[in-house]
Amino acid sequence: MEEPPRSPDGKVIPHDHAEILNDHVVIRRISKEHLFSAQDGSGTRISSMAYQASSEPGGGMSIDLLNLIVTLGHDSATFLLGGAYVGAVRFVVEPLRAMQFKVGYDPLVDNECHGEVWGKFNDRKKRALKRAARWEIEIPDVSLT
Amino acid sequence: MTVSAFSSHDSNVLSLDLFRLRAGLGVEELSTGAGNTLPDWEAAAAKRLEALIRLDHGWDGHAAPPVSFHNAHFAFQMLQSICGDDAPAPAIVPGFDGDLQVEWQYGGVQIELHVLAANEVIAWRGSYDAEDEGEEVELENDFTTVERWVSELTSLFEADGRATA
Repeated sequence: MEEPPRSPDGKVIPHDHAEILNDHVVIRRISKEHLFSAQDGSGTRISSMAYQASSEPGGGMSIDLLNLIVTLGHDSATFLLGGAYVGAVRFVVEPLRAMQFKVGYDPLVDNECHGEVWGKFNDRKKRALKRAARWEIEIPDVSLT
Repeated sequence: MTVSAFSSHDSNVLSLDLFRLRAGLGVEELSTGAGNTLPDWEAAAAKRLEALIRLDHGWDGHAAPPVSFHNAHFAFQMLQSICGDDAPAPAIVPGFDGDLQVEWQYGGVQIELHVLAANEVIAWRGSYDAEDEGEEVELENDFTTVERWVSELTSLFEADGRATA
């Protein structure tokens, strides 16, 4: 992947990366803290709070780039799960860009497949993201909505 | 009737200590105490909020802080204002910036109360199965709308024979 644009202090600038195509898939890992039991007994759900930007200034919603995971030969389940994460959902890039989000590359020291979704996150958009999410690594007995 | 959550300037020491006391006691002690009349939802919410303010920094695998005590305290007061004794216990989940969300999902209807800060709440009622967007309101001091939403949901809960109080 081509290096992302960076500010003078080395931080990645929000951008739409040219090598992340509209038909590509990005992965959002799910923390166990974002699971809850529906009060009507219909089972466990993922909260819309899973689909928010981070608290860091200029931060977006962390994602992993599926094409890069595959290209680099990682096993996706091994790569994506563990630690805080119990499952993962996928988004096709085009609908994210249609929601005025930028989808870019933001490699980390310990994760060269890391990207970000930048833009204006609000409650309406977090619900739209919840509706758009599909399973990548399903959590047993958990529903997406 | 206007239902108000407390503003930051009148959040008194007594309320703060009460929250700490309830959260610190734990559900078992609260629910078995002699003469205890604490609703089920209140004990469960206190226990969950206590857990959320004690999350490790980076609980999300990145740099998210735990839920802030002020937001947790405000959420607890808000719930006391809007929930009747028989209300189903809400789910409470953390945000990535010290914020939190209170949620109910019952019979296909979802209520989400996103507490961004004290007296700064985005409330939504709708269904993820429906085409329409549902109702969204921004709340500061007047929580009458969500008091009505929770009351209607509690009626369904009681009609299904799930309420225990």
